[in-house]
Amino acid sequence: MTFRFRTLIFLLFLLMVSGFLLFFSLNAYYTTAQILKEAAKESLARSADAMQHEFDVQLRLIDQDLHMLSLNASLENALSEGRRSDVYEFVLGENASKRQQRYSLALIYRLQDNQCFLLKNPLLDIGPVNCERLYQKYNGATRQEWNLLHNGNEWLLVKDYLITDQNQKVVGRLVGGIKLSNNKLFLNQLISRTQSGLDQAQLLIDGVAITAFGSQNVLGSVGIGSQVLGLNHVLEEELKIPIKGFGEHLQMGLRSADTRVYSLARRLFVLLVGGCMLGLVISAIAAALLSGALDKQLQKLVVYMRQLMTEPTPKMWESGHIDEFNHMGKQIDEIVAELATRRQELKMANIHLEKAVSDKRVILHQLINNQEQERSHLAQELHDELGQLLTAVRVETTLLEHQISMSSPALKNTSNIKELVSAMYATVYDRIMALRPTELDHMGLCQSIQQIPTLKSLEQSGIKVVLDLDDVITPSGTDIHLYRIVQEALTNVLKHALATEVSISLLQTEHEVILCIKDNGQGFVPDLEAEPKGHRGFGLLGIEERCDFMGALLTIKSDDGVTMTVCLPC
Amino acid sequence: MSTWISRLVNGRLFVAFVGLLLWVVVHDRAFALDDDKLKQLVNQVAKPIEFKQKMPVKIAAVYPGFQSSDYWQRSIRSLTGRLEAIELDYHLDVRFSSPSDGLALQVRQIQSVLSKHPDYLILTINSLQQQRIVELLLEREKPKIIIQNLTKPIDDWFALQPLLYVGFDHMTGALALADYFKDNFPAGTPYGLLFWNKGAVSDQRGLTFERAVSGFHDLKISYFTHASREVAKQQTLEMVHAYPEIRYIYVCATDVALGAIDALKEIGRKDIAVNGWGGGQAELTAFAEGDLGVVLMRMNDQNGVAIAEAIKLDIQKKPVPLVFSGDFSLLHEGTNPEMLGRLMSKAFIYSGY
Repeated sequence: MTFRFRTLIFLLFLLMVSGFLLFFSLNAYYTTAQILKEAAKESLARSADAMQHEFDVQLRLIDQDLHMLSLNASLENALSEGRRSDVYEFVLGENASKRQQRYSLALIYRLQDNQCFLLKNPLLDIGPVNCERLYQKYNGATRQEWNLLHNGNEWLLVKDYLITDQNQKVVGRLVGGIKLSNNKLFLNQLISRTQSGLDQAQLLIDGVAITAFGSQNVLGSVGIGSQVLGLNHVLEEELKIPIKGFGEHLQMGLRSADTRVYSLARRLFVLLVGGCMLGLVISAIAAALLSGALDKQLQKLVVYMRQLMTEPTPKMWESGHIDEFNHMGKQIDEIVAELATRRQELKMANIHLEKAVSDKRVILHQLINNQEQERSHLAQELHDELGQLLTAVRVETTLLEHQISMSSPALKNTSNIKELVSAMYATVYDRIMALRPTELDHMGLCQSIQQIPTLKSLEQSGIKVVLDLDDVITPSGTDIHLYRIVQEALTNVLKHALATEVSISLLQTEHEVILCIKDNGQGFVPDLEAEPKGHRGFGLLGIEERCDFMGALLTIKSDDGVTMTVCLPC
Repeated sequence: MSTWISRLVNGRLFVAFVGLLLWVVVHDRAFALDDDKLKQLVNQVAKPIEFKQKMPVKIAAVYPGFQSSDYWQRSIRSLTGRLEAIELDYHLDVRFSSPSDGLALQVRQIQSVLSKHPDYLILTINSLQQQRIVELLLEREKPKIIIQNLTKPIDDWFALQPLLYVGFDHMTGALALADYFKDNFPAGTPYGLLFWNKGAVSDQRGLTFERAVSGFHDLKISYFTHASREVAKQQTLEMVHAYPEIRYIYVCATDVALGAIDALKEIGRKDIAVNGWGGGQAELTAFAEGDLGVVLMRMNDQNGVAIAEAIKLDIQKKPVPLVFSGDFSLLHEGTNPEMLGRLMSKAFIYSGY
């Protein structure tokens, strides 16, 4: 995976900015959360005091309403007449009273005839509604001013008052109050009037909640981003306090879910996101500027290097605004100058070397040519002079022999002289043939090859010789070189090849004469560039030089023996 | 794979990152609904629901609908019209009573509809006793309460509020009428005031008007009318008899306006101006006949439309604004028939005219 330079710069800057902001935000968040936690505890304690006070205030207001109701003469009148509708209208009706009716239920018991009126809104569920039983239950539960009354599944908070007639005779009893269980509005008002920072409140009797109000999930709408970062914390604090006047029986359970820390987290999160966006922009600009400058220098460097390779006289590096690149350019300039000097020296050395080799090759070719000429001259001299002399000796000996009598013992000497002369002649002939095969001049290359003495040696060594020779016309002066090549090749076969068969072919095509010597021996690895030793001895070197002298193409293959091919253009 | 990642990183990273950040920033608040948006929904053409409804939504309404004003009947018609327009399957249970009926009847009606376990219950509040009744209902998880004809949340309930307060703001209407009378009657003009029955409606409509013209016009006498046309007629007669110099009578409701017109016709005092409050069919007829000099006209059907749209939002568990207050228009001698026609077509889009 590869990245562009600007991407790397962009990611680096972004990582730095985001990392700093993340560190800053989280540090601020957790520090502030700790402070808020302490504040939340204090706030909850203050809220509990305020709630307790408001609870007392509400009971006093209800108490006032009921007290005023019990003192009202109209109630006594309605009660004395015993009409339920009148009593109801007076206690809970819409037109008969200016009271706030903070109470929600009232039980009126007429002592005169034990008649009982239970007055409440039909929509209000207070449990079983048998008035007499409820009254008896109240009497059984009375302990103090305000009493908790368990009626069925519901809990009532009630207090009793006496109703008197004009003579102050007690004629009845009023028991009134509120329903405490499932009274969310009451709790809601307690919380709201005290302006408590509470999110949930409960009324508990013996530890069991009878009514609750508040949000269970204050962070229902937490954004997914905050959730992912774990910034959905809520500082939850809980407190249970007994309500004064009811011992430990009636308790108030308070819970605050302080979302300020969540708000803080949200703000920090927004800061983080905003900072990241700013970092994004900064990173993008920095990456664009830096990579732009670097790209420009790199392009310049690439173009410069290309010029160095292609142009014979490249320009020097032009200085830019980045020191490192200027330094690099100078270094390259120095290296290039050094290389140019070395190259020039090498070139001159090469020229000298090539000239020396060429001179040597000319000399070698001249030597080869001179050698052949010398050989030919020597052979001619031997043939013309020594041959004539030997012939003259033989003739003189023969003449001498005719002058000697048949019985003379000198005759035997002359015979020996004649044999010696013949032997000398044969030896001289062989030497002449070795120096310059006379067949070349008289019978051509084809016949001359067949007369090479090494062929007889090969046959005597048990090596089968196959000849396929055509009469060919070779360029002037080249036949002796072809002859010598065959001669040298056969010598190599005899000496080194361990072959059982050797074939020689000579043929002529339209444009060239092709000579091929092939054996089935052990072969060798030809190395035309190696020094002349081992398998590449002086013989092979001579072959090469002769080919080079003739302008022929030499090919040597070693594959199941050696195949040597000489192609001579003609 | 690596090539693909490289391309993504090199070519798309910037755009993708910016897109992600923007999404995170706007995500939380993108779909919040405020009061204005509910108003936009109400004024828009109905859009059929785009969710699958498992069962019909059960709606109940306990209304003081037996009045001269057709406000309540039109509310029902606009509600049903909108519910059908948005293709919401519903079951509606409506109970009417008269404003003069006792609370006992309303309580029985509420008990009756509650026995059918409605999802939403539409009520109105005009008295402390009605408020106490609603308080008992707010304790329950179900039905959700919609308070109609009251646009000022009850402070004493604090956080325990109904789903929606819907209606036309009485105080806004009263102030509009006060501006009209102040513009059309000179300073010191004597006038009389006829309230409806005792309660929040009379307070907000009547007392707001009285305070607004106080110091400019001279209030001679005022009565509560027990929401009765006949009572309003009798009290108008007494008012004019006692103060014949009054130039206009400010009334707080349609019944009262019609009773005042009856009385003025009877004694031939066409010089005393009377206003209409609501702009129902009875008032429009009286306005057309010249019996009412000015009519405060509610864009009546916005009531039912707002309730239907709020229910739709609530079913989708989207936030519903606590208050929706509909629009008013003032009809007076300068209102031409063409303009009146346009207003009526807007006000009675579902209930018809």
